Amino acid sequence: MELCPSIKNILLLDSEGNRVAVKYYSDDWPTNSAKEAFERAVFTKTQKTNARTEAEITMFDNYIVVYKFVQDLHFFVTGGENENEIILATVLQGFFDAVGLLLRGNEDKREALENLDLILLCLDEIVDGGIILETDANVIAGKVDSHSMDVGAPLSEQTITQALATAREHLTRSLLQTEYIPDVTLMSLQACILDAIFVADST
Amino acid sequence: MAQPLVKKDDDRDEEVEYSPFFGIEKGAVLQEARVFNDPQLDPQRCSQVITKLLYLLNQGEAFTKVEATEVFFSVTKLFQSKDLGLRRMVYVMIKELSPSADEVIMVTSSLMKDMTSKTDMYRANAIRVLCRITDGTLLTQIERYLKQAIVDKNPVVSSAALVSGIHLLQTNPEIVKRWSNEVQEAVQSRAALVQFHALALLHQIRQNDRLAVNKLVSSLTRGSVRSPLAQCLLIRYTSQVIRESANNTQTGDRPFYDFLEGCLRHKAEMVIFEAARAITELNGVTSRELTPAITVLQLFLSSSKPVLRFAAVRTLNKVAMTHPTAVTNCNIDMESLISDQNRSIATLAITTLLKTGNESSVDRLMKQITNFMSDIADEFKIVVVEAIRSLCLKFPLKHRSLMNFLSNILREEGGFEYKKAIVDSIVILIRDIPEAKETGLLHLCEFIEDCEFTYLSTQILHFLGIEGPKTSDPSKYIRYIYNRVHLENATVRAGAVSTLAKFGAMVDGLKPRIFVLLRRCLFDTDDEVRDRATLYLNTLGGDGAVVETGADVKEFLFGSLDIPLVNLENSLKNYEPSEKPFDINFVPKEVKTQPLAEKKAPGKKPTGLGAPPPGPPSTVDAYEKLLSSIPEFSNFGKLFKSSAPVELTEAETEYAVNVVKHIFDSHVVFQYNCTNTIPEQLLENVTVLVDGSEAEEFSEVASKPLRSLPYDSPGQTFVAFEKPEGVPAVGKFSNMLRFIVKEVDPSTGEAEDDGVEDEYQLEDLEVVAADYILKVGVSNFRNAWESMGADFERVDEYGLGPRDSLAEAVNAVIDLLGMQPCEGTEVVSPNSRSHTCLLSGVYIGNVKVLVRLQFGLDGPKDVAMKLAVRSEDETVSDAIHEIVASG
Repeated sequence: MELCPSIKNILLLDSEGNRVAVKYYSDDWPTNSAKEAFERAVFTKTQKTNARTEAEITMFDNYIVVYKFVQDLHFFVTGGENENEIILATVLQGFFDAVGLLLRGNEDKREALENLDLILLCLDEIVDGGIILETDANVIAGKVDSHSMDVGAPLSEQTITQALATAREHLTRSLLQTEYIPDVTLMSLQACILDAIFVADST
Repeated sequence: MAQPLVKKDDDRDEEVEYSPFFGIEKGAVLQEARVFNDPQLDPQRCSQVITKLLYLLNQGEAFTKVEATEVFFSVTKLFQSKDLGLRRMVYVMIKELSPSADEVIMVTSSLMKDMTSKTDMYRANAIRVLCRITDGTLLTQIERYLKQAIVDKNPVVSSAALVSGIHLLQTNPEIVKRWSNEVQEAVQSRAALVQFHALALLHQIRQNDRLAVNKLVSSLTRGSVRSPLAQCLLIRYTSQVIRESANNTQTGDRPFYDFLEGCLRHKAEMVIFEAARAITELNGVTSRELTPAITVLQLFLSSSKPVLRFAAVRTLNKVAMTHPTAVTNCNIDMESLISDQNRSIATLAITTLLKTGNESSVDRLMKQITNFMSDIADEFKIVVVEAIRSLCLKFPLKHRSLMNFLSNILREEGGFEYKKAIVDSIVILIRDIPEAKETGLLHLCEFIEDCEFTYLSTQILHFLGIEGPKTSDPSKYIRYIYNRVHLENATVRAGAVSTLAKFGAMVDGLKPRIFVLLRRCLFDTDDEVRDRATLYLNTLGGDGAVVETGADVKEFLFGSLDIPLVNLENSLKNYEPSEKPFDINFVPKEVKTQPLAEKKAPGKKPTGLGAPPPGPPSTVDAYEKLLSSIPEFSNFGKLFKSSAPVELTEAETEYAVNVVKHIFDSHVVFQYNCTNTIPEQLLENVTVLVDGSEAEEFSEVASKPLRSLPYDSPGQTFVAFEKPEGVPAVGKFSNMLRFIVKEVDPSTGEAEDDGVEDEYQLEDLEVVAADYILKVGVSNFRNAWESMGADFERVDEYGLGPRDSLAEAVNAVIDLLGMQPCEGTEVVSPNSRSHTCLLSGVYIGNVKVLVRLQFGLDGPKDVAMKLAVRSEDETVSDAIHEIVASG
């Protein structure tokens, strides 16, 4: 008796139906070819629909699939035929928005592949073995993000390389955000890096 | 991960999409994974390599056992690094590799260390990883930490432990059950998802304890559950409790209904919907209970979100099957959904409308559907066609417009399954609505003029052959059929020749013209077509003389073959060319009883359009044919009833025998179906000696022995008894199988010449009162009951003694009477203490009988029953009471 809402799979495909990242939580598709066949079927069935403003929904082979597209990324969440459609849509929205946050609005296939580690962690944070872990996009993205960039642990626990990486991250981000880099900024950054090195050394 | 992992493509190759994983190769990545073993770890680089490995796994690349082990061991080295991001990737990687038990030991200590770390993320993830890969033995070691984690103040840690608990409950229930105090505490958590996970786990721990679940639900439905997901869970548990609770709707308000109704005003849509759906699925829901749920679903129908519209229309579609009137309020909203962008929603809306529609709205609806059909996929069209078919059966007066619609869509483009669904629907309508017959047949004729599916063409030709000659003007179909002979492939041509011949055989006026056409077919290029034409010309007297075709010739050509094809095939294979021609009469006629229903017409592809009309040949028809073919029984009159086979031997004995009781007005025939399961034996002259000394009213009049019973090839022997006319005589018969057994040489399969006479005791057989009652249902029991009148009503009460359950008592009485339960009243709702069951049937002598049974539990197990019988004859009403009284 299945009373707990359960997710069968979450798929992120590109505009040709190829995998960007997929995660299956059910044994309904035991082999890779079964999975690929399912993905192909889902993709061809939904390809022509316009799921860009609101999440769309379809039913086939006794599964309910909710989906939403942005640029060349196609997001899908699958559940059993008796699942509450709105719960599935909530999971989809959580995944969709979290990816948007993590890719900082540049949601396309290239950006997704370049940040595949974030996408995979994101999938890991949304559902565990079919059970919904979290549906709030901000919380999901926060959990994923904190690991890779804004390291929450005290600076003293970081290695030099980590500190440098953090600094580099800050630099690139500010590079992306501003058109030109005033010398002052550069200098303050350097100071920041030196600080980090100093702290790391002293521990 | 900012820098590309692989060199970017050359610019001239702009067509190829850029990917950081372009040209990635497993072997190379495995090489790269050696960096995990470096004494000075580079977390960035290690993260990248893990991402590549995960990418490969995600694309479906499989690692061999050796490769996976190697990767796993090097990944375990990465626990040395303090880098949070890297650790996170390590956790994911370990889960993906799903290591074996001896490998798990390698990481256990590292993970346990993380489980007790100060960093929340470490604790949460280490718990999830460890619980995923661990087995029971390790679990006792970490149990203490897990219990702590459940009540951890960080919701992420708490959720991780609870979700892991849900997974572990499948494999180690006894350990997880010890945590219920902590889980109970977590249910009160202020974090929404912790509450959700805790509730799910707590319910699973207690799910086998009905009382505990009851208590859980009643305490939580009063309290405030914060998380929408937890609220959905609670609704599911509540409806489960309602389903199982003993109190039924008759005693006023349903428990917890108020809670469900209150959830309809929740602010989260998922909760509103969950509650609305739960209400519509309540057992025996009343229209008063349904109304608020339908109202919120109706609001969803006009939502801007497709998911809400879909969820609502799907639920309403289900409600429409049982409570069509409750849904009619939504019809206007539903009609606007026909043009919904999402075709799933549109299809559901249409089929709902077709279910709730009344006779006057049919025409308008059909107009809307016509526009809609052109832009949906075949699978949706099939759903619509089926809905239209049932609508047409519901409103036969509307057959003209519905039939027109079907013929229109038949002419449009479509795949095989779709076309088959339409053709099947037309055939069913022709069969059930006599006025629709002629137009329907013409539609089918037009369709085969331009039909690309051989299967459908032959099926329609076969159907035309049966129905066409019975119409007022059979000649108008000839042109369509003969066109097939010119234009189609050999299979269709052969089918057309047979159909032409059928017209010739059935309609004498058409004979000369048919013969002309058939003679032309003699020059066909295909053997089968020529053979058929020749056969029909010769047997129907195509040599110029126009004579009325004899019934035996018709039967020979078009009657159904009363030999199972399997048997015929076997006999033909075993036949060796010799002087002696193959004789079809030597083919064993019967297999078991079931395959009778699957008889095929000769020379046809398997399965007709459903089956030859009118309706499939029921087992009764098949039995009737079988019995009337035996001269000894041919004067017994019309077969009243054939029982289901009764086994007279244990399973897996040397000889398997079952018996079918055929009841005639003044005779009873026992058909013994025998199977010989010993390869080394051939049985000959098989008979059953029946001792009817305990059945005084019966006297044996005839028996028909089975000449030969080879191994694994079933055969029948019959014994007939005479009994007083029209009287439901009952009695007990003892049976003895008698035969001559001959040894068979297994290597050659030849039997010895000399046989030994032998006997084999079978179990006793009883003729009971239920054998004299036919199961015949009525669609509206109340009407039938009222119109029957109370003139011959007989009412009495009976005590049935202690029974296992009410359902068991109900089934026992139904079996005893052998009557047809009506309106689904044979199903007893669980835990109810009373039940009313309606039965209908026809008593021997064609007397209609209706029975109303009222059951009640009297004390803990004793069942009492009130039996009311109405029939057209008071002796029959009394007879029913006698059956119950003596049963």
